Amino acid sequence: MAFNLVKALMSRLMRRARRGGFDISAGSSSHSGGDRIDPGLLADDSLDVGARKAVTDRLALDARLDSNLRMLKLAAGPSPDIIIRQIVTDSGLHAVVLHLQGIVDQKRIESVVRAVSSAGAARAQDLMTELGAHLLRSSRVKTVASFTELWDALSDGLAVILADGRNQGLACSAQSFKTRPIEEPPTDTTLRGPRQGFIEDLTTNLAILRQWIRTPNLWIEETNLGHLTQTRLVIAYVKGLASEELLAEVRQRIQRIETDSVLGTGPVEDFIQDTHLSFFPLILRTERPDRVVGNLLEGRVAIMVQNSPFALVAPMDYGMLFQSADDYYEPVPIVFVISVLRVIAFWTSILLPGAFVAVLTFHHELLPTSLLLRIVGDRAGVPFPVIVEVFLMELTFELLREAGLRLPRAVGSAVTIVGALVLGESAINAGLVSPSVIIIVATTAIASFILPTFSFDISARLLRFAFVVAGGSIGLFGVEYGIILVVLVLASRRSFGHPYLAPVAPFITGGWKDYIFRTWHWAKTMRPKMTGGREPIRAPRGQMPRPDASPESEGRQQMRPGSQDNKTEGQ
Amino acid sequence: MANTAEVIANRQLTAILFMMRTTVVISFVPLLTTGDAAQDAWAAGLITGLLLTLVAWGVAGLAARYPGLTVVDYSRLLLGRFLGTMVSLVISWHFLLIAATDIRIYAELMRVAFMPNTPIWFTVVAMAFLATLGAWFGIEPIGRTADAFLPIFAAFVALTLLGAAPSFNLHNLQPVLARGLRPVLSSVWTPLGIGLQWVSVGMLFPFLIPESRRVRSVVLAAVLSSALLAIVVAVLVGVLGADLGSKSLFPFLKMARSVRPTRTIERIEILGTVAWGLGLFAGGSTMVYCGSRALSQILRIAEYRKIVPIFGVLVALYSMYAYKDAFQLVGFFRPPGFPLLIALTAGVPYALMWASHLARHLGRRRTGGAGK
Amino acid sequence: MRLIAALAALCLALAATGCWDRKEPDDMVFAVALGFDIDDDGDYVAIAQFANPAAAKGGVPPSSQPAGSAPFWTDCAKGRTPFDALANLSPALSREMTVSNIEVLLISERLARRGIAPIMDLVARDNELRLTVSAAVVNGDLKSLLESQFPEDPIPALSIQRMLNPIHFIDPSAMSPGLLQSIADMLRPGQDLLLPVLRLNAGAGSESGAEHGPDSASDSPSDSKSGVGSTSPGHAVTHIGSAAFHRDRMIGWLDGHESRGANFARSRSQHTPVSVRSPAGGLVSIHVAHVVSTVSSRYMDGDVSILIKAKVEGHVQGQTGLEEGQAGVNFADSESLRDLRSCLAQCVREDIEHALAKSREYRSDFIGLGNAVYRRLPRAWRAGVGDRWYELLPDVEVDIEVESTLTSPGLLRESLHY
Repeated sequence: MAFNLVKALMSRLMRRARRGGFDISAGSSSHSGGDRIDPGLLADDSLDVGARKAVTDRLALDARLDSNLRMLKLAAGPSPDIIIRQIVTDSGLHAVVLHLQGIVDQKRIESVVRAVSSAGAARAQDLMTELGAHLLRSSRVKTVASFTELWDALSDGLAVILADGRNQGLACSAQSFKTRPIEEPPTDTTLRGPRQGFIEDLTTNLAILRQWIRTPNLWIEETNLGHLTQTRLVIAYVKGLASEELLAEVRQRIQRIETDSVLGTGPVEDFIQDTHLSFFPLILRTERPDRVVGNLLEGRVAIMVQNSPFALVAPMDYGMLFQSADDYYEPVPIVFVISVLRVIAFWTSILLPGAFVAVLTFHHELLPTSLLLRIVGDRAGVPFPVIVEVFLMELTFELLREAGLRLPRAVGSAVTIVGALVLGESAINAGLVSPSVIIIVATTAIASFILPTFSFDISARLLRFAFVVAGGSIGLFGVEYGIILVVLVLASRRSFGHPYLAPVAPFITGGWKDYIFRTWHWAKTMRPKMTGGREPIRAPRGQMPRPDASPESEGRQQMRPGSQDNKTEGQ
Repeated sequence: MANTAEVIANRQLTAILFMMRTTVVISFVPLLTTGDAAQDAWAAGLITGLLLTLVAWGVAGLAARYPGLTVVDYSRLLLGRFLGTMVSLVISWHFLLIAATDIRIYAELMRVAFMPNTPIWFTVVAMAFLATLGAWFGIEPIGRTADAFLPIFAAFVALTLLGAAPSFNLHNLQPVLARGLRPVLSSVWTPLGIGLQWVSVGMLFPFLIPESRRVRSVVLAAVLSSALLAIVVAVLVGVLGADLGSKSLFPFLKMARSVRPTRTIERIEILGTVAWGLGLFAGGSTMVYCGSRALSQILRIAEYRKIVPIFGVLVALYSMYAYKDAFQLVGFFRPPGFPLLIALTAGVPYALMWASHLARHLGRRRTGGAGK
Repeated sequence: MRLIAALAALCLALAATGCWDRKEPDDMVFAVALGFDIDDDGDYVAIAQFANPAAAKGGVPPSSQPAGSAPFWTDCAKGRTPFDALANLSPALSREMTVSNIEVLLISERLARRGIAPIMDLVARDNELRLTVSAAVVNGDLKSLLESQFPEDPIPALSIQRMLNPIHFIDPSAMSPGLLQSIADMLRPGQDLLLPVLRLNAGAGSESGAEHGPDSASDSPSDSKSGVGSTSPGHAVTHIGSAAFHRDRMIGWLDGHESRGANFARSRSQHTPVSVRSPAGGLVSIHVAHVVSTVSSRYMDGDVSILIKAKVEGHVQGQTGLEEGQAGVNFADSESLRDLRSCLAQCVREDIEHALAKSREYRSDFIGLGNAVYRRLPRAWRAGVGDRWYELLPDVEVDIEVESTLTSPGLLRESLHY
C-alpha cells in the first residue's frame, strides 16, 4: 500500500516539475502542506531514488524536535558532515543548530549558537521571533517549514535553528565557501585585458558581473535544475535591450530540461541548443567576464551554472568563433590583420589537406611544373597513395595532440615536440611519407591552434577528414561540393532564432563594424541589428579623436562621479 | 518549420539571379559561340542586356501587380482555369529544363576539361542532390548562401579577367561593328532565351522583402549580369581572338587556361570553375525550389517539401537522358530552335497574361469600378 | 550504430579504391617538352622529353650522376596524326604519360614547311595541352636538341622555356609569349605567324651567314658581317632569328636583324641593343628599352597604303672610337644628340625595311600589314583586297616613320678622357 502511495506521489511530482516556474528569489518547489506523510517510509531500503524524492518532497517539519531529527536522519543518512548542536536555552527550551560542515564560517556558527543559548524567550514561537529580531545582523534570515526547505538552506551554507514545540525553523546565513581566487582563465588569456575569469562559485560570478554592469537593468533570473543535483542556474540579461522573444525562447528551453543531474554548463548546452547535430558550436562558451559583458551589452543572454566557471552566451553567430577578448584591447589595424589571419587559418585547417590530396591526385595540371616535379621527386618511392599518407600523418598528429593534453604539464610539451620531430624525421628517412605531406599536416595543425574558440573541437577534425575523403575521391570538385554543403548547412542554422551566418548572410552592413574585423570604439555608434535592435543607437557619432578647436574651454571643471550619466545611451 | 513564412531579401534575389545568369552564359558564352557576331559580340551583349532588362521588368512588373500571389495563381486568374493551369505546368517544365540543362553543362565541362573518365551520371546526380538539399532547406538558406557566395563569385570572375588582361590585344576587337547590325543581332537571341531564368521571379516574388523595391532588384540583376557579360565577352575576344573564341566549346575556360598572368601564377582556370560551381548551386537549388512550389500549388499539396525529392529526381533524369552528348547539348542552344522554343513557351504566355491584365485594368477603369 | 559503421566503411572504400579519374603522381610520368617532326612517309614523329623528378631534385649536375638516374630522358614514336604519334609513345613507358605540364613545344623545320595546322588543332582541342606553352622552330636535329643538357637546370625543358621567354636583356630576336599569341596571329585575317628559332650549335655546322649569339657586333647598317661565333661550350642551343610562315607553312628564315626589325614593327620588342654610328666617330651602343609602333592603313591616291610609325626609346650604354684622346660624343651638345637620335631612328628604320623586304619576298605578312587594312578599311578588305592580299603584298606602298628618344646618357655625363 505504501508502494502505491509512493507511485501516486511520484506522478504528482513529475507533473509539478513539468509545470515549472521561476522566482526572483531562489526557491524550491513550493510546499503545499497537504496530507502529512510518515517519514518512516524512508526506512525502506528498497525504495529507489525517485521514490525517496517523492517522499521527501512531501515531508513537513514537525513540532517535536526529536521527530524532526529522526526525519533528518532517515532522509539524509548518517552523514558525518551534518553537525547537530543540541542547545538548551537559558529559558529551558530545547533547540538545535544544524549546519553542514565545511561550508559555514565557524565564527558565525558560534555567534548563532551563543545567540540561541542566550535567548530568553520561554515559548518556541517567541524564541523564533526574538532570534529573528536579534539575529538581524545576519544578512539573510528566513523560515523553513518543510524538509526540502530545510535541506536547501543547509546546502546553501545556512545554519538552521529548530526549536522543540515549533514546526518551523529559522535559517540564517553563515556561508563561507572555499573557492579559488579570481585569476585569469587558462584557456582564454589576453595581453592587455583584465586578468579576471569566472570561478566555480555562482555568487562570486554574479558579483563580478554586477561590477562590470552597474545599471539596475541587469536582471538575473534563477532556477534549479537536476533532481539529484539541484544545481543553481542563472540567466542574466539587460532588460530593455535583450529582445523579449529571445528571453522567452531561452526560458522555455531551460524549463523544458528534465534530468537528474546537471554537471556544469556542458549538459545545459546539450539541452538548449538548436540542434545537436552541428559541426559548429551554436552557443558560445567562455570563462571571461569581459566577453560575457560585451555580449550582454549587445542584447544577448548569458547563462551561468553553479560549479562551472564557463558561462554560456546565446545567441551565437559564426563571427564569434573568431573573436578573442584581446581584439578589444589592441589597436584596430593590428586586430584587422590578425582577424584576417584567423579566418584564413580556420579555413586552411579544414581545407588544406583535402585540397592537397585533390590537386596531387586529380589535377596535376594546376601546379606549376617546377613545383610539381619537386613534390613528385620527394615522393618517389613512397609506397602509399597520397590520401593514405595524409590519413596516416593526420592520425599521428592527432594522437600526439591528445597525448600532450593528458600528460602533466612539465613533461607534455617536451614529449609532443620531440615526438613530432622524431616521428616526422624518421618517417621521412624510412621513406614512408614524403616531406611535403608532413609540411601540409604540420601547417594544418598550427592553423587549427590559431582560433581562440575552436581549437580542440572534435568537429573540426571530422570536417577535415570529410574533406580529405572528398578531395581524394573526386578531386577539387569534391572539395567544392563539401564547401557548398557546409555553407548551406550553416546558412540554414539558427541559434535561438538568430541566423548563424549573420551578418555575412543575410548581409547586414552595420553588422560588419564589429564582426570579425572591428572598427575603433568611437565608430561603434550602432548596436548589432539582430540582437540589439531594440535600442540601436549606442553612442553619438563624431567622437573620432581630433585636435580640439579650443582645448581650454571645456575640461576646466573637475570630474565628479555620476556626471557622465546624461551622455550615455541615446534615449 | 512547415508553416513559417519564408522571406528573402531583395538583395538576395538579385544575387541569385545574377549568379545564375552569369554562370550559364560564362560557361559556353552563347554571345560568342552562337550566331555570327564574332568580334562584335560585346555589342550583342549590350543589346541582349537591354532586351533582358525589358523582359525582367515585364515579368517582375506583372508579379508586382498581384502581390502575395505566385505565377500559378495569377495565371489562372488572368487566363482562366484551364489555360492558366497549362501555362503553370509549362512554367514548371521550364524550371526543370533550366535546372537540368545547367547541371548538364557543368557535368560536360567537368568531363571534357578536367575528369574525362568520370561518368556523366555521377556529376549530375551529385549536383542534383545538392540542389535538392538546398531546396529542401528552403529559400532562406539558399538566399543566405547566395549572399555569402556572391563576393567570392564576383571576385573569382574578376580575378580571371584580370589575369587574362595582360594578354588582351585591342586589335582582336577591330574592326568594330564593321559588318553592320545583322551579324550582331544574330548572336542576341540565344542569350536572351537563357533569360528564361527570370521566370523564377514569378514564384519567388511573394517572398521578397522589403516590398517597395522588389521590381527594382529584379531589373538590377538583369542590368548587372548583362554588363558583366559584355565585359567578359569583350575580354574574351581580346585575348583569344574572334576565331578561336567562337570555335571553342567553353571559351571562358579556354581563356583561363591559355594565359599566364605572371611567372609564378599560372593556372587560373580553377577560379572560374569554382565560381561556376557556386553559381550553379545557387541557380539549381532555386529552380528546384520554384519547381516544387509550383507543382505543389498546381496539385494543391500543402507542403511543398514533399515534392522536392521527386522534382530532384526528375531533374537528374532529365539532365542525364534528354541530351545524349555534348554535341546535342550545344545543338540545343543553337538559334533559331532554342530562342523560338522559349518565345513560344514563355514569351507567348506572358504576353497573353499582360494583355489580359491590361484588359481587366482598362475594363475596370472604363466601368468606373472602385475595385483594386 | 551499424549504419554508421557501414557509412564509414563506404567512405574509406571510396578513399582507398579511388574514383575514375584518380591519377596518383607515382603512376604518372610527366612530359616536359614535346617536339613534332614529320618523316618522309608523311608520318608524324612525336619526341617527348620526360622528367625523372627523383633524380632531378638534387641540383647535382647531371653528368656526375650514375646512369639510370638521369633527371630526364627522351623518347620518340611515329604515328599517322600528331595525336597518334603521341599515343604511340605509351607502349614504351612503364607509367601513364601526361602532357599537361609541357613547357615547350618544338617543331622541326621539315614539319614547319609542311604545315603546322594539325599540331595547332591538337593543342587547341586537347584537354591536357595548354596554349601557354612556348613554341619554337628548330634549326637542326630536333631529337638531339631535346637530348642536349643545360648546365642551369637539370631538366632542359625549363631552360628552353626560359630561353624563349626572357625577362630582361638580350634577345634581339622574336619573343615567344606563348602559343596563344601564335595561334591568334595565324587566325587573324591579314597576319601571319612568326615563330622563334632554336638552333643547335655544338658540332653541327652552322650555315655561313647565320649569326650567332647576342654578343655579336652589328655595325653600320649597310654591313652585315657574320660575327665570330663565341658560344660557350655548355650551351648547345642558341635562340636567334625567326621563322616566317605563310598561313600555316614555314616559308623561310629571318636572321637576327630582320627579326629585330619585325619585332620593332610589331611592337613586341623589349630590350634590344642597337649600335649606331656615332657623330663623333666610332659606334655608340644604345639599349633600346621601349618600342611602340602602330601599323595603320589608309587610302592614298585610290590605293591602299600602309604607315608604320615606331617610337623608340633608349639610353646610351657605351661607345667605341674613344682611343687616342677622342672626346666621344658630347652629350651636352644638343646638335650631336640630335644626330645621335637620327642615327638611331635610321638604324631602326633599316631594320624594319629589311624585315619588310623579307616579308615581301616570302609573301608572309608577319608584320600585320593586311591586318591593318582589315581593321581600318574593312570595306576595302571585303571588296576584294582581302582575297588578293598576298598578291598585293609585294607592291603595296609602305611608309615608315621612326621617332626616337634618348632618355639618358647612362651614368656618365661625359665621356672619359684618356
